[in-house]
Order: sequence, then structure tokens, then C-alpha cells
Amino acid sequence: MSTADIIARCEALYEDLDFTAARKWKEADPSRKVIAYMPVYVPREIIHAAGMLPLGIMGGGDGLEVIHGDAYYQSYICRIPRSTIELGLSKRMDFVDGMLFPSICDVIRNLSGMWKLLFPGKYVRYFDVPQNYRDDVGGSYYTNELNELREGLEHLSGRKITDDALRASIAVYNENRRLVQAVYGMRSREPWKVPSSEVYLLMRAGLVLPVEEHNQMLSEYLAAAENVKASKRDNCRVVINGSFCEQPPLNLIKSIELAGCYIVDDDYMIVHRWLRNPVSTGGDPMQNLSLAFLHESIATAAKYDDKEEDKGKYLLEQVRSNAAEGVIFAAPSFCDPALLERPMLADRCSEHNVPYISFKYAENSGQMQPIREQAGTFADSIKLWS
Amino acid sequence: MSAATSPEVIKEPSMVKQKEMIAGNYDRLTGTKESGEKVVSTFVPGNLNELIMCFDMVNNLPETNAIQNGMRKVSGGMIMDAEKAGHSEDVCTYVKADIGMMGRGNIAPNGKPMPAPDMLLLSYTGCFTFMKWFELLRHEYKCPTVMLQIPYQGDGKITKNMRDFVVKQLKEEVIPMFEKVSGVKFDIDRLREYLKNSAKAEDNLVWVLESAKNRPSPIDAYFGGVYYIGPMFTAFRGTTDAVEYYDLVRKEIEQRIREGKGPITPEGDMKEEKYRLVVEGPPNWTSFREFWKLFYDEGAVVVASSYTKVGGLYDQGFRHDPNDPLGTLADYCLGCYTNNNLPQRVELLEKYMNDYQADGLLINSIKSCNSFSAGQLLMMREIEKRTGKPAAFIETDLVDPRYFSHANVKNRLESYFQMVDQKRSGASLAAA
Repeated sequence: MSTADIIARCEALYEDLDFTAARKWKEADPSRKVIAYMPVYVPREIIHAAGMLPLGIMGGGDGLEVIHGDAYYQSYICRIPRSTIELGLSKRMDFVDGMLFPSICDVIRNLSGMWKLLFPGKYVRYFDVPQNYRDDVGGSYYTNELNELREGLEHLSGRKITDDALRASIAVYNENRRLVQAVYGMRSREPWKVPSSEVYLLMRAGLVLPVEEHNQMLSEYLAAAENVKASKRDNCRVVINGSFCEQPPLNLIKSIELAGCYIVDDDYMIVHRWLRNPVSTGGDPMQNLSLAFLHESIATAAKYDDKEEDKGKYLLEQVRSNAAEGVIFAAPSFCDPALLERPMLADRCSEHNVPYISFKYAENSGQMQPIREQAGTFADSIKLWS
Repeated sequence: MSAATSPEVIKEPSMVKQKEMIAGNYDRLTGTKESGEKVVSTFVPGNLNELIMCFDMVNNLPETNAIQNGMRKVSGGMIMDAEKAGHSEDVCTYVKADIGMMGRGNIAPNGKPMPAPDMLLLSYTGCFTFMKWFELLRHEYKCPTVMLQIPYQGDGKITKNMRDFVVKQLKEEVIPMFEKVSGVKFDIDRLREYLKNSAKAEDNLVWVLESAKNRPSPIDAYFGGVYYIGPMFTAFRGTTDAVEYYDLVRKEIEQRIREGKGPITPEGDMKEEKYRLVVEGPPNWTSFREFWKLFYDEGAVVVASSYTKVGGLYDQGFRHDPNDPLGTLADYCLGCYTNNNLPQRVELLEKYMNDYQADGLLINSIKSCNSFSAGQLLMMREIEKRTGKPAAFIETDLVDPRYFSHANVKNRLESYFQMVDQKRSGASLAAA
């Protein structure tokens, strides 16, 4: 199978806002359940161990006409909750049995309560995570939260989630993390062979497919990409930061590439790469997931940096390890975490002579010319003067 | 007549006392260079004033500084300074007013420069922005910072796990940091004494807020309410000053009830109570007086509000308990209004609508504050559905004068009051 064939399938999944693949998965066995989750991170291993399908919801993008959703939000609130409500009210998510709202910002937090009011009877959980990274403080709290999630899913499915099932699920997701990192690694090494628009679609497919199927897809893509014949361009290597929740339209990613930038790292759909290393498959699986969260999570604006000197460290490491020449801060309009974080990260970039630019987008942005011009000028300035 | 041209603002003795208390705290804050006292900055929701006092530290609240600057109409320039420095136009204006204030020398209302904080107590309660705000301040001040994470009541309840987590953080992180910065050893009995004072003052605050069940209501529980909650939510809870303040204000309200008076406004006693409202959301501060005037000119009194619960839901039974000093601090933080989930908030507003016999709900939706604002349109529909009473929605901001449109708010309120009248006449006709 060629990369084009694989990406064509991914694109079809990406555009399918009725989630047909997830529906079919569920219809194959009446006992199956689907648990949806929003950005930025949930421990999908627990859902998987319950025999359920974790389904990532990233809003409606630019392919969904939001009719009902806008009536629930003021003009100064971002797009993702509107289109998510639209997905719910338009019955596109009527097959979903439960929904997790991770701790990311006040809008998504409040959406959890709205979901309870709008869809009574559905399993809804606000998934809180510790901002204290001590094993005996934040760790104990988080382990108990994970156990509450486990119990909630057990209640929903009517069956126990065993430790063995959890260990097996952790192993499957470890493999997923390995393959995802391999794709990202390949893109960083040879971005002319692995365009970011393809990487993006590959990762989006991982939100709606069973993990085993996604693993197979990633393996096939990696093999096929080796055979791609493409010429290296004199593009500038950039890291994208700030796009961890509401996603940009695919055209925005393509526009950045067309403007002369190779995206060599990003924070799109960070659920796939939230944990930087494999989670231990021995011992207490809940404890292992908890420790992995405390000590192996990537840095992002939704998290607290408990030391001032840690602010921007991860971003600078992304720049260094991917030999990036600049950073593009691309945040959704009205995104509190990304926009509040940006001045601190920008200061770090300045201190380390890393060039950067900033712009905002919405998931349904249609006009790409300004983005293309800004990114193009940025790339030119780096090539000419950096 | 605009409030700006009114001859004299009417003040009662409790208002004078509160003004003196606030002025005294600013003098104390700006005098730390001479006194050697240490300063801790923290937030209003989840404000641990009793604990701060145990370490002889002075409490500085950036939110109230922003409010002061908003009411003195100087926040607009500060916000624009922060935006010029790279802070997004989309984010909270409290944050930008605070950062802009720093750039202008951090001048307190008494005209003297504020000291840099010796410590930041990041009480992460009911507002995500708090976390980034104090990271931004730490980025500027490079001072010790301690986080107290308060888990959100996603399922509408406080679990043992949440409470244990907060108590553990107090024991393992917060108190040790205070001891280190202040050099004062923690004394739990001292904390108990302050908590006793808190509970006394809280009893009277609740009495004052619930006095709005009278007809006419002797208080305005939103515009007037922000004065009543002032000492409790800021640097005074746990002090004897606060106990005295709430004794005084209770006596004043008792007198107003005896005399059958309505609320006191900046232009004197409100004459006729035509509309009784419940208000959800914080007020606008840059045009506070003009905003209030739009209500009392129409005979509208706010009988209950959610904003006066951001620093604790005392009217729902919570009291600081000296018998469980750390546990009670955890319960307090976990119970603040914006730490409640949306169904809880809807239930509370519905309860207020019924208990205070309100004619309707008004939502003042604040651009800066997603913690309050996200979901308010659904809350409005739910309240209308459950109570059958009309609701209205206006949009302003906290301290950004660019987002207060007097004409728009006035038009919206006038239409709303007409709607309440129509609903009433419809109800009377149906009864006849």
C-alpha cells in the first residue's frame, strides 16, 4: 500500500463527522461501548482495558456547519465547544456511551456540566489531573482519580477491568506511542518525504480507530514512506506551538508548508505523545499510569510548571532536538491556556535567539492567504538573515 | 443625572469603617519596607487569609488591585500597556491590568509603590487563568511560588480524595513554604482562633445577604453586595475588625428593616422596589456606579447574586470550623461558587429565584471570565424553563472600559423590565 492510499483512507476518516468507523466497530458486537474524550489527555488504556473504544473528539473543524452550537456561546469563546455541542445535538454522537472532559481550561471544564444538562443519562466525567507532581501528593490523588474512572467504566459496562487487561492495554498503547514517535522522527529527519499534512491525518485517524488498527496503519505508512521519492527543498524548519486543543483546518497546515516551512514538531493531538516513554507493564498498572503522568508527561500550557526555570524548557528541547530554526505560535482565538502561556514562551525563545512569529486561527478559518504570507515572510527572513 | 455629577455619595458608618480597613491594609502593604513584614499575593476564591495571618504576612490580592484600578478608571491604559507588551487581546483583563500596573510602578491607591511579593500563593480555585496568571507573575518577580490545587467538583460533590489532596498540599507544600519565607513557625491554635472569628463574621454576613428576602429588600445583593462581601473575601476574614464590621453592618440593616427602607445607593435610599432580580456573573468595575444607576433608576433591586459567592457559599451552610482547621480550609476552597459544576450553579440560581421571590434572572456575562461565562446561555434557558420567569443577558467586562457600552446595556435592561411587566400582567390576567 502506498502512502497516498493510506492517507486517502485517513482523509476519509477525518472528513467523516458521523464517525462511521466507530459506529461500525460498535455495531459489530452489542456489548461494545464507545467513550469519547476531548483534548488534551486521557488515559485511553483504561477505556481500552474495559473493552471499549476511545473516540477522540476534536470539534467539527471546517467541515461542519454550526447551527445550534453558536446559540450556546458568546462571541468571545473559542470554536471547539460550539462545534462539539453541534455534533452532540445533531445526533452525530448518539452512539457514544460516555464522554470525558479533561482538565484543560474553564471552557472545556464547563462544557462537562453542559453535557450533563444536555444529555442526561449519559456517562459524563470531568477528568481532573494533578498539577502537583509529587508521588505522595499529586500522585496519590491521581491514582484515586484513575480508580474512580475505572469504577465508572466498570459500572457502565457491567464488567470488571482486571489488572491483567490493563497491563495488556498499556502494552498496546506503548506500541502505539513507539510508532507515533517513529513517524514524528521520520518527519523530523526527512520532512520532504513525510509532509506534515500527512502526519496530521495519520494522527487524526488514531483518534477514531481501534488502537490495534492504528498501529497497523502506522507500520504500513512507515514502510511505504521509506520508498517515497521526493526532493529536499530549501525550506525553513519550524516547531508549531499552541495548537493542542482546537485544531487548525488542514488547509492551514498545508499553507504553512506551502509557504516554505517544514514543520518538524508540533503539539497537534498531543494525546498520542503525552507520555514520552513507555509505561511499565509490570506491577500495579494504575500506579504505573499515575507515575507516567507525573514524570513522563510533555510540557504544555494546560499544565503547571512548578519551577520557573522549567518554563519553555520543553519547547527549547523540541527546537534543539529537531534542529528547528524557528517557532510558530499558532493558537486558536480565545484559547486561554495557549494565549496566556505565549508571552512566557516567547521570552524564552528571545533569550535563546530562537526566531518566532504568532498568529491565531479558528477551526473553521477559511482565509489562508494572510497565514501563508506571514509564514512565508518568516521562512524567508530566517533563510536570509538568521 | 450621571453618578459622576452627583453632589455627594451617601455613606453609612459600616462603609466608612470598610474604607478605613482597606486603606489601612494598603498602608501596611506599602509600608513593608519600613516594617519588615513579608507580603504574599494570592487570589480571592480560595483565599486563605486566616493561614496567612498565622505567619504575620500581609495579604495582597491582585484581583482587588485590578478592581480598584477599574473603579478609579485607570485600568484601561494598563490593559493596553500589557497588550502592547505581547499579551493577547483575548485573555483576562484582570491579568493584563495587573501586568500593566506593574509596568507603571505598581502604585497602590494610596499613591505609594507596592512592594514586590515575597511569595505567591497560587490558590488554583475555580479558575484556570489563575494558574497562568501566577506563572506570569513568577516570571516577572522570580519569587517563591506555591500551588494549592483545588479539584473541581465535576460530579457536583466533594469527595474524600479531593479533600485529602487539599489537606495534604496544605501540610506538605503550603505551610512549609510559608514557614520558610516568613520565618514563623506554624501554630495551629493560632489558626483556630482566627477561624473562630471567621465563623462569627460569616454568621452575620449570611444574615445580611438573607435580609433580601424581606419586601422591600433592605439591601442590594449585587452592587451593594460587593461592599458586604469585601472584608470577608479579602484581607480581613479572621480578624476582629471583620467581626466588628459585620456586627455594624447587621445593625444597620436591622434598622433599615424596622424603618421599611429599601437599599442604600450612592444617591441615597432607593425609593420604590419595582423589580426583584437574581444576577449571575461578576459586575463591571470601570462603570460600576453608572451600571448600578441603570438599576435603581428603574426601581430594580438585586435580591441575590452568584458573584457574592465566589469567595464562599456561606449562605448554603458552610462555616469555617476551628475544630478541623485544615479540613475546613479545604472545604472552603472546594466549595467556592466557580468550583461548582454547571448543574449545581443552575440549582443554586433556581433556589435563589424561589427563595427570594425574584421576578427574573439577569446574566451579566463577562468577556474576561470564562470560568463564569462559558455555559451561561444554557444556564439562562434552564432557569427560564424551571421557573417560568424571564431571563436576560447582557455583556460587559471586568476592568476593560472598551467592553462597557452604556447605551447597549441600558436598552437591554429597559426591554427586560418591560418583559417582566408583561409577564406580570399576563399572570394577573390569567389569575383573573
